[in-house]
Amino acid sequence: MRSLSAAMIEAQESFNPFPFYKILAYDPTLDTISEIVSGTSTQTPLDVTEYCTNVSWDISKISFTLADSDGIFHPDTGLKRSYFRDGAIIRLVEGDERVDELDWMVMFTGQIHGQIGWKISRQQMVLESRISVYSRENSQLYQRRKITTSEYTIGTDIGICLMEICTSFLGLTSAEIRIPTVLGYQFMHITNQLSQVTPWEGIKALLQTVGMEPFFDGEGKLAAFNKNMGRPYSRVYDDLTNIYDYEIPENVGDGINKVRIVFLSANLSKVPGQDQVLGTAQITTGFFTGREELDCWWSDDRKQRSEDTRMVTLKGINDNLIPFIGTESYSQIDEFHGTIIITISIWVPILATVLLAGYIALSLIPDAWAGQFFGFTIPYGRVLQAIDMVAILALMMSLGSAQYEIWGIPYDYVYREMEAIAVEQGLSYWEENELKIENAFLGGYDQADIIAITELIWEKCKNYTRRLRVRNDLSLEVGDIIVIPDGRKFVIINMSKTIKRGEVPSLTLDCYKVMTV
Amino acid sequence: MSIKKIIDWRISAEEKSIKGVIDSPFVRRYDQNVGGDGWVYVCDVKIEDGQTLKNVPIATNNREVFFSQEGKPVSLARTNGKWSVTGLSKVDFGFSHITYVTFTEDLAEVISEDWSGYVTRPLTYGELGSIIFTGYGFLPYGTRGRFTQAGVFIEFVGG
Repeated sequence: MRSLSAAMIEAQESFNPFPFYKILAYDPTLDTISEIVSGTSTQTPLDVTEYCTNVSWDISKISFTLADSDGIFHPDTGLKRSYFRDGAIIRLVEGDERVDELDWMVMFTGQIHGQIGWKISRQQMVLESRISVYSRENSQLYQRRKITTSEYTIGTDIGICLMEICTSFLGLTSAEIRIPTVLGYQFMHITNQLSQVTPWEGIKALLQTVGMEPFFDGEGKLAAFNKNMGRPYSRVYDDLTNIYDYEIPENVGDGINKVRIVFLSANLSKVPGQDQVLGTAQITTGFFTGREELDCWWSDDRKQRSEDTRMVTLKGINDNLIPFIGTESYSQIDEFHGTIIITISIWVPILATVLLAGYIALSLIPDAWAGQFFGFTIPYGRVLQAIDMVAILALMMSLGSAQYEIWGIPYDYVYREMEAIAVEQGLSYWEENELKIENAFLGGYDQADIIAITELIWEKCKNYTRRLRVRNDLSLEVGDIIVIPDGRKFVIINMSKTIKRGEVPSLTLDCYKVMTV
Repeated sequence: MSIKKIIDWRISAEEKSIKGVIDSPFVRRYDQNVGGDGWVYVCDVKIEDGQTLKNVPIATNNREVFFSQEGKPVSLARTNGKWSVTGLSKVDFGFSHITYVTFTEDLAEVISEDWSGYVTRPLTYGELGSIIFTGYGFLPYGTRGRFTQAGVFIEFVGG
């Protein structure tokens, strides 16, 4: 709801108002719409009210017939044609004749898109133009071009990102934004970025996390209303004096009765796989190695994570001739790999060294002689060497290959796609008419549940459209809640009126019936 | 019914890619439409709403998918009306929190809530000995099962 000055309120509520309006045109080559809305424009607007008839207004568009007998606005030859050229800024200002113009309200700010219609007919004696001006959110620039924002880290208020879109991609200044910078809801994920969405989609997605809906107000400023209808009322009609018509329009659509909010969990979730062989290892060892360490990775690219890993020995180092030459162990180093450690007992290399030294030493033992003149030499040294060689060979035969398998449970981290569903009680599957909303900025059930319930109630209210024609009220705007004398409440979703000179306009309100929790 | 709704439905019908979760071991099935020997590797895939697509073939030569296990999130693509598993996905299905609302004249009331969905994971040591009352030793280490959001065991998974 917009604030009116005390004088304006008094004039509006008086029994005999003197409504007055002006249509102002701005040359887009001199000032931008941003400068005009911000109040920093330098040009004096051209008052074209006297040329305008059949003025009809709603929140998204204003249309009027331009009676230009002198042809000063002729698109080709008119002296002041730049005031109705492509991009020209048009404002509708309403007030009361008895009130200072500074207190009047700007009810509409928009731009002409493309070329205005123009007709001159000598036979029918017609020289007129029909002009339509569209509000800012109807600009194709806001809804067609794809943007990518900066990255925002966890804990940043979403309002910061919203401001970036508004200032960097929509060209709005802070004076053009009525939405607070801090919205009270923070990004839940580590990295957050809007990518390849239109600016308007981005704004809607961000505001959706706090249950708000954006719109441009009459002054052309970006505003938002809360879809939660448990908020205070903007206008209470105590009697039916100011309500002229009450209509329940036909509504033939199938109403939404289930809302599914899909969002990603803020935290990565572990997805474990089946217990399985992660890798195999083969090692050759013996007396020549004191200690062997063998890294074992769970995948060739060394990126597979695993837990609860263990070693299964297919053939160990002690499975050979000598069953106690060493120890074998396994330990997991990190989530990606482990190490197999083979330790050969110290006595094995010592024994090998001693036996080899002994083999050399035994070669020095001289042979003995048996007999007098004939006989045999007795090679004591060779016999002892052979015994020594058997020991050496036994030691050598105990070395060889060992084979191991590493088992474990591989796992990976994924984002869980969570859902918060609000559904009307008692529906069968075939009766459900679902609205699916995906919003990656929600990170937990707490907020998502609130949004789901709010959206379901909003969609339910949509089924109960109401149309009221009330006394003109310059303070009302989209999203306001009004209360009629019997206590029923309505939320305004559109407003329209026809403005004629010297006539008190009535305001038509398209509303939804309010349901509250 | 608005044109926009009709267009939305049409877009949805033409949707080319969805997410899913492997829901069965891989098996070989004969497909007469496939050239060569006609054998393809397939698996069941759980998709949105808890529905399961049966015998979804793996896209050709996708070893990454073939060596994954039940419970792994995958992406599916549809070509000529047939779904196939094309790769692994970084997004998995989580739980759904359902809020039931009733509407009267101008009041909405939240009357109950519930959870749906499940996770697939290996049984813990404690569960290995307690889920089946025969105690430890009956279930092999690594046995996997499905659990609700509250941790209640639903069923065993895999062979």
